[in-house]
Amino acid sequence: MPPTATSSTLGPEHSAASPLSVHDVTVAYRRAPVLWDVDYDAPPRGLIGMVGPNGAGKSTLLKAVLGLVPMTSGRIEVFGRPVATQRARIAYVPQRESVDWDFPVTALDVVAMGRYRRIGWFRRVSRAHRDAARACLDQVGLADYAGRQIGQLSGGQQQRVFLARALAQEADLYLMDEPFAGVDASTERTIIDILRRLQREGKTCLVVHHDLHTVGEYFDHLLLLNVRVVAAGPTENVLTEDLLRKTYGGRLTLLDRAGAALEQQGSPAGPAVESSRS
Amino acid sequence: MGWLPYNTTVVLFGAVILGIASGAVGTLLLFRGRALLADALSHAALPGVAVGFLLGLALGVEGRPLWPLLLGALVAGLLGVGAVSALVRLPRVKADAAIGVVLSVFFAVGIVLIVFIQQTPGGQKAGLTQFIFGQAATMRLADAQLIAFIAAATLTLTAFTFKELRLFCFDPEYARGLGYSRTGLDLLLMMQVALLTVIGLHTVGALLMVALLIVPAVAARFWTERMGWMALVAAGFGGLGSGLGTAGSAIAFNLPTGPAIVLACGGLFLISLLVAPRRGVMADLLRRVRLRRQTLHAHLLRAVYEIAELSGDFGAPIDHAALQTRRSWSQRQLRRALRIGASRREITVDPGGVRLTERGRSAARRSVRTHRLWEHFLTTHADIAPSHVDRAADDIEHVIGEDLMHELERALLDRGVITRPGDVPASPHRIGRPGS
Repeated sequence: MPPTATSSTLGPEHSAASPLSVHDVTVAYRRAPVLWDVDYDAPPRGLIGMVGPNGAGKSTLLKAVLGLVPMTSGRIEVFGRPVATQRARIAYVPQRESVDWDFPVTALDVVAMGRYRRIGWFRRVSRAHRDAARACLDQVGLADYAGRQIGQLSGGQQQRVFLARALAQEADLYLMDEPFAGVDASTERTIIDILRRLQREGKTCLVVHHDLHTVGEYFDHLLLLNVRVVAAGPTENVLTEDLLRKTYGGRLTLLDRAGAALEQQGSPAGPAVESSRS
Repeated sequence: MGWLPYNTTVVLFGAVILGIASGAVGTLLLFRGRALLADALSHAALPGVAVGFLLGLALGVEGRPLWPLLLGALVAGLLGVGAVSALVRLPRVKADAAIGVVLSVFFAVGIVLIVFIQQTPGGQKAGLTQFIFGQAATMRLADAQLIAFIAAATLTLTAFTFKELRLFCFDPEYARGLGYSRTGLDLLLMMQVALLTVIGLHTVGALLMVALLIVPAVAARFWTERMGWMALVAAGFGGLGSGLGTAGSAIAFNLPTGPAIVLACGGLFLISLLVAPRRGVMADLLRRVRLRRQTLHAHLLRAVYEIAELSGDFGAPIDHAALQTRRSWSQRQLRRALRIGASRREITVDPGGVRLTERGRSAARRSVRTHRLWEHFLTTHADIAPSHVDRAADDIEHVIGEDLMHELERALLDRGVITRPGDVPASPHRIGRPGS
């Protein structure tokens, strides 16, 4: 990348309208870089899938955006501004395994956490905020589970609680870390419906996704990541066997699966996928 | 408490409110996973007590009040926590090792200083050894008032920051994503812990202070699935344990207050562990016994039903021997099963044999249906050999709910394994004595 982007003004390749601009970001734990010179602009209203092998830095990229991991170099902007000033516009869905589900809170308690910044310090969760949280639970089909301790929910339901919590933030940019991992079919349906609705409402979603069979069907943009950005763009341009091979490197079993997935779909994310879905 | 002298009442009151605040803060501490750090803090506070005493002496503070000692303890305790976080940053020093080093070294320094002070003229009277095991009875009125005040202030702070701290304990990364500062929230929590630890030194002592924070919280976990309630229950336990221990140590054996309080809290923990509904050991035991009875009963109903199904006559009596071979039961097991069945009025037992009552027949039908649906499901969906499914189905069918049952039926209808919902499907394996 040309060094013009490192000045405080936006470089020509970065548009101010972009919900998320990642400028030459490098993140290194100890010595080995987890992300190396990642440069990426998310398209507005994009439903973006982030794909890459284990250890490719997908979660780390989301965490870097949120400021959860220190960057060795680079800069990240959200809607053209520093992340710290845009927190109210960013919602995060962490991996389900990241918390202890035996924790003594109810589903509604967890969803209400999405509204804490609106509620503010030293105040209780008011009825209005609780109702808003309940509405979000309803959107993910868990209205009847509001009072359940979260450990008594199934894996798919827990994932939906996390999604509802992000919805409760009423953000403009949604960062989701493997929301489809280990969920049942109906949860997968619910999540993808909500993602599409968010897109219709003008929101941008960046979603870490593992299943190459569905990636073409679910997302209209892709970010192929393996420490560096391998490719990014509209799904029909990016979901090619060649680029997947580059992304997954020598991992043959995954490559085979990717190949099989492509074969099954006839063409990369072509109309065959659309018709098979309806 | 009119029969107690005013001084004792205030000391007791101070101990109770200290326990209440400790229980509430301890609940957060527990879920933040910082119990060991709090232990390091209280041990590290000990040298601060000695230094505070010496400084007070040097500055000529009148009347040996408690506050310079507590101030010294607060500074030393926080230094200890700071030392732990500095050590962890070094390569190859893990958190537990860092805590172990700081805890023991600071504590040793404290002991050395206290022994040194004791050997100086007048040092004996300072009573600094009380800060090791805790001794509430010797507390002066002004000191007790100070302790009660700080405990109440801390408790108020806890109540007002509970929402954020709970979020932070549950999902720290999400909290940071919302814009909360990790350092800020950790400091907020450790500050509350430090304040309580420092004022607890006189009553509970440096050695055992962490128990007053943690034990009531762990005990409270047995009683509730809501964090707010848990903090309240822990506060209650902490207040009760602290009050009982303080009163007990004042009355009996000249016991140090710290161990007495911890024993009282330990008792509350033990009671919780045993008798708490749902999470308690006894409730769990009861559940298991019930399940075993339920299982035995279901097996009996199924055996009777299947024998009758083979003969085609549901009214005919079935003799004990046939039932026994059917399930390979011992005499005793069979007698127990018959007793349970009769007490539920689902079978009748007379010299002619065993019969299903009207009620028993519908219960048996339900049980057989669940069992066979499961068996079919296991053979068609989970790829288990038909000859093995009987026992595999046994393991799980007793815990199946209505919802799952319907889902199961739908799945089997979709596959064409069964034709009509509500039917009792045929068994996927030959019915007879298992293993024969």
